[in-house]
Amino acid sequence: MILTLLALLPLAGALVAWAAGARNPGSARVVALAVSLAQLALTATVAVAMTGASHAALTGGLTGMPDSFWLLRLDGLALPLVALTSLLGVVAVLASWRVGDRPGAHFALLLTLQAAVTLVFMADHLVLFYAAWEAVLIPMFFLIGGWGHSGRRHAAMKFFIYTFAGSALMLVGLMIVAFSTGELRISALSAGMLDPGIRTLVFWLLVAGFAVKVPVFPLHTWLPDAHVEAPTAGSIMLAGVLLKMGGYGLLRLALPLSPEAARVAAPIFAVLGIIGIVYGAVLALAQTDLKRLVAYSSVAHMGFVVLAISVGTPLALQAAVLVMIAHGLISALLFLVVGQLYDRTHTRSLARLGGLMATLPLWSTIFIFASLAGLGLPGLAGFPGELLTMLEGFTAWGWWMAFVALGVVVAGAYGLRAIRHVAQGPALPEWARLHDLDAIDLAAALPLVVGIVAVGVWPSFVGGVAAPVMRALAATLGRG
Amino acid sequence: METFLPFAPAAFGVAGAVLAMLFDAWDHRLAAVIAAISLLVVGAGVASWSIVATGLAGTSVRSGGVVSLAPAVCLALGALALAGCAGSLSVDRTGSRVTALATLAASASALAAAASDIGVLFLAIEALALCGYGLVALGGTDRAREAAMKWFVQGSVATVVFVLGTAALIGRTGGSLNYDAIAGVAAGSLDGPMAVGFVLVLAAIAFKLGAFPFHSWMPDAYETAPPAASAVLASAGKVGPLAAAVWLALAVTGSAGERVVRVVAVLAVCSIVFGNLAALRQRSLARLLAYSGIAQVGYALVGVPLGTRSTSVLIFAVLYGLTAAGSFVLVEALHRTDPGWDGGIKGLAGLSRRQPALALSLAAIMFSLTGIPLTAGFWGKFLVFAGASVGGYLWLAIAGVLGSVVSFGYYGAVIRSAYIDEPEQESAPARAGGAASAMTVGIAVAIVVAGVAPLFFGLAPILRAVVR
Repeated sequence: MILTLLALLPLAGALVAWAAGARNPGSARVVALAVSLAQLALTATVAVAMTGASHAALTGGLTGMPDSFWLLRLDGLALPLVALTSLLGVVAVLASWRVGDRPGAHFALLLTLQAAVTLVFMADHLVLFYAAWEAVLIPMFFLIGGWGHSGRRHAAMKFFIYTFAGSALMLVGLMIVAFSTGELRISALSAGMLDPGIRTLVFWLLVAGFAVKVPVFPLHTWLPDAHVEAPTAGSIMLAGVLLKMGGYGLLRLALPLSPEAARVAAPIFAVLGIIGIVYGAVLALAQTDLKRLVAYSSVAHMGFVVLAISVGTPLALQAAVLVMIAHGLISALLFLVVGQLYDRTHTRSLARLGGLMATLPLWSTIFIFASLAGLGLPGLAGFPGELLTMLEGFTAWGWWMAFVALGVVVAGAYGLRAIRHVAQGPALPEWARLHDLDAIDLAAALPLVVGIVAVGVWPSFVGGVAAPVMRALAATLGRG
Repeated sequence: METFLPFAPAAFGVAGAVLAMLFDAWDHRLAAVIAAISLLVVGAGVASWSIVATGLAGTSVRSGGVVSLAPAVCLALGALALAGCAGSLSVDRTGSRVTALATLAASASALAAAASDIGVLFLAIEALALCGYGLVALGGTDRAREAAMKWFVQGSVATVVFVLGTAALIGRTGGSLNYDAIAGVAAGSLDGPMAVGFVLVLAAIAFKLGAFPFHSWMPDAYETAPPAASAVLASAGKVGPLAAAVWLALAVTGSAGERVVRVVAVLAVCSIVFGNLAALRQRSLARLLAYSGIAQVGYALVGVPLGTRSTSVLIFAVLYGLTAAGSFVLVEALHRTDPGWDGGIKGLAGLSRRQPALALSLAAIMFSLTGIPLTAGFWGKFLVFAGASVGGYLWLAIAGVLGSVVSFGYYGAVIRSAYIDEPEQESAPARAGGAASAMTVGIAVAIVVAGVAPLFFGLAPILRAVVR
C-alpha cells in the first residue's frame, strides 16, 4: 500500500497543482513543494522501514488481484534511486520557484515526471515497467518544449524520438521475455526460464533501450541538446534521475536475464565505457557554453557506470550504484547553479563570464564546490564510486585503466577551467550589479550539498543498501 | 429468430440509414442524424449482447463471442463519428445524405466482419466501397469529385480481382464459399489455383483497407470527403475488413496455407515503411492522418499471419478505430472552433492557449496513434507485436516498433505545433466547438482510460483469448 502511495502521490499532487495553478498561478508552487516534501518524507519512512527491519525488499501493489499489472517492489537497488528521485523532486520544485509562464502546468509536469520515474524503479511487472518507462517521456517532452531555451522545438522532438527508438527495441525484448516464459513478474524472472538460444537476442534488444538512456557512447548524441535546451528543473531531473533509468535497467533486467551474453558483451561495454569517459571529458573541455560543458561531463561520469557494469564483481556493481547516486546529486547541483547563473546573467558563455567570486560570493562558493565534486575530489560524492570502479576495473581489464586515469585528469582540467573562467579573475563591470543567492536558491542547493558530502564521507551507506542485491547479481554473472 | 440474430446488428444500421433518407425527404436533418445514431447504437447493443451470449452461430453470417466484437465496434464507431460531426450534418445541405451513406457504410463494414462466407463478404465489402465513393463525392468540391472518381476506378479493379479470386476458390470447394468449406479443402491440400485465389481475395481486401501498394486513393479521399465521412470510413470502415482478413486467414492457417498468408507479412512491412515515410512529408492534418492510416493498416496486418494469435488484430482494430474516429472528429472540431483554419498543421500553433481542452485531446489522440503507453493505442500495438515477436515474425515486430518511432516524427510534430509553436498572427477569438469538441474530449478521455485501466486490472481476459 505504501509503495502504491509512493508512486501515486506525486501524480495526485500534479492534478492538485494543475487545478490550483488554473485558479491562482502563485499557489501551484506551494502545492508542488508540499507534495514533493511529503514524498520525501514518505520515502524516508519507507527507507527506515526497509533498513530498520532488515527486509530484503518491500512488495506492494494489487498483489491480491491475480491478473493485475500493478505490482511494485522496492529492494536495495531501487531504494537509493527512489530516494534520489524524491530528493531531486524537491530540488526541482525549488529550482523552478520563479517560473512565471503557466506555473500550474509546469509544476504538474514536474510532479508527473517524478511519479513516472519512481514507478520505473519500483515496477515489478514487465508491462508496468515499460509503461512507466515511456510515460517518463511525455512530461519531459512538454517540459523541454514548453519551458526550454531557444532550441527547444528541435530538442524536444530529438529527445523523444531518440529515446523512443531505443525503448521500442527494448519493448520487443520485454515481449519475448514475457511471452516465452509466461512470467511477467520481474522479481520472479531468472535466466534459466529463458531458452538459451534467445538470451543473446533478448540481451541486445534490452540493451538497445538502456544504452540510449544511460547514454553509452556512441548513443549519447541526444543528451547535449536535451540537457542544454531543457529548463533548469528539467535538466536536473534529466541528468539526475532519467539517465539512471538506463543503469537501473541494465542491472535489473539485461544482466540477470542473460548472464552469458553479458559476459560476452563485457569487453564491448568496457571499451565503450572508457571511450565515454575520455570522450565526454575531452568534449567538456572544449565547450564554451557552461551548460553544455556540464552536459558532456554527464557522458563521462555515466561512462563509469558502464565500465563498472562491465566488470561485474560485487564491488564493481556497488560502485555502479554509487556512481549513479553521486552523479545524480552532483549533476543536479551543477545544473541548478548554472540555471541560477543564467537567470541572473542571461548568458552561459564562458568567454563572457568571469570574476563572479567578487559579485556573487555565495553562488561562486557553491559552484566551486559542485565543480570540485564533479572532478572527483576525495571526501565528496564523486570520488569513492569512481575510485572503486577503477580499482575493480584494474583487476578485470588491467592497464586499460590508464585511459580512465587520463579521463579523470581531463575531468580535473575542465572542472578547474570552468572555475577559472567563471568564478576567478578580475571582476567584470558587466556583472557588478547581480543579486547573490536568496533563501529559496540556497534551500534548493543545500540538500544536494549535504548529500554530496554525506555520500563522500560515508559511501558504504549507499553501497551497503545495494550490496545484497549486487552480490546476488554478481553470482548470477559468475563473478561472485 | 436465431437465424436472424447474426444479421440483426447490420439490419438495425441499415434501418437507421433508411430512416435518415426518409427524414431527408422532409428536410429534417437533425432528426435524420438522431435516427441514424439511435439505430446504430441499438445495432451495436445487439452485437455487444451477442459477444457475451453463448452458442450463437450462423451459416453465412456468424455471431457470438469474439466474432461479434468487430460488428459491435463498427456500429458504435459509426454512431460516435456521426455524433461528433452532428453539428455540421444537421446544418449542411447534404448533411442527411452523408448521414445515410455513412450509416450504411458502418453497417456494411459490420456485416463484412460477421461474414463467414466469401459471397457475403464480397457483397458487404462492395457495399462499403460504394458508400465510400458516394461519401467522398458529397464533399462537393471538384477535388472531392475527382478523388471519388479515382477511388471508384481503382476500386473497380479491386472488385474484379476479388471476383477472380472467388472464382478460383469456388472451383476447388465444389460450389461452396463458406469459410469452413474453404478451411476443409485447404487442410487437405492447398494447391496452385486455391493459393492464387486466396492471394487475390486477400489483395482485394488489402485494397479496401488501403495497404501499400493499394493505397493511392486514400489521402485524396480522406482529405476531400466531409469530416463525418472520413471519420466513419477511417474507423468503422477499417475495422470490418480487418476482421474479415483475420477470419479468412484463420480459415487457411494451420496447413500449407501459412505460406500464402505470408504474403500479408510483406504487405504489412511495405505499408509500414511507405505510410510512415509519406506521412512525414504532409502539411495538411487530414492528409497526414490518411497516410499514417496506411502505416496503421500495416501494423494491423502484422498480426494477420499469426494463426490463432491473429485475433490480437481485432483488439488492435478496435482501439485504432476509436483513435481514428477521434482524430477525424478532432479535425471537424478544429474547423468549427476556427473557421479560418486551412487544415494545415502549422495552423495549429497556439492551440494549447486558445483551446486547452481540445489541445490536450489532440495530444492524447496523437500519443495513442503513436502507441505510447497510458493510451489505448499502446495496448493494440503491444498485443499485435507481442504475438509477432513470439510467433516467428520477430522481424515484423521490429519493423512495427521502428515504424512507430518514425511515426512520432509527424504525430509529435502535430503536438509540437499545438503546444510549442507560437502562432504567426493573432487568431480570431475562440468559438465553441459544440458537439465536435465535446465528442473529441470524450473520445480522448476514453483513450486514456482504456490506456491506464489495464495497468491496474490487467489484460488477462484479452490475453487468454488472444495469445494462446
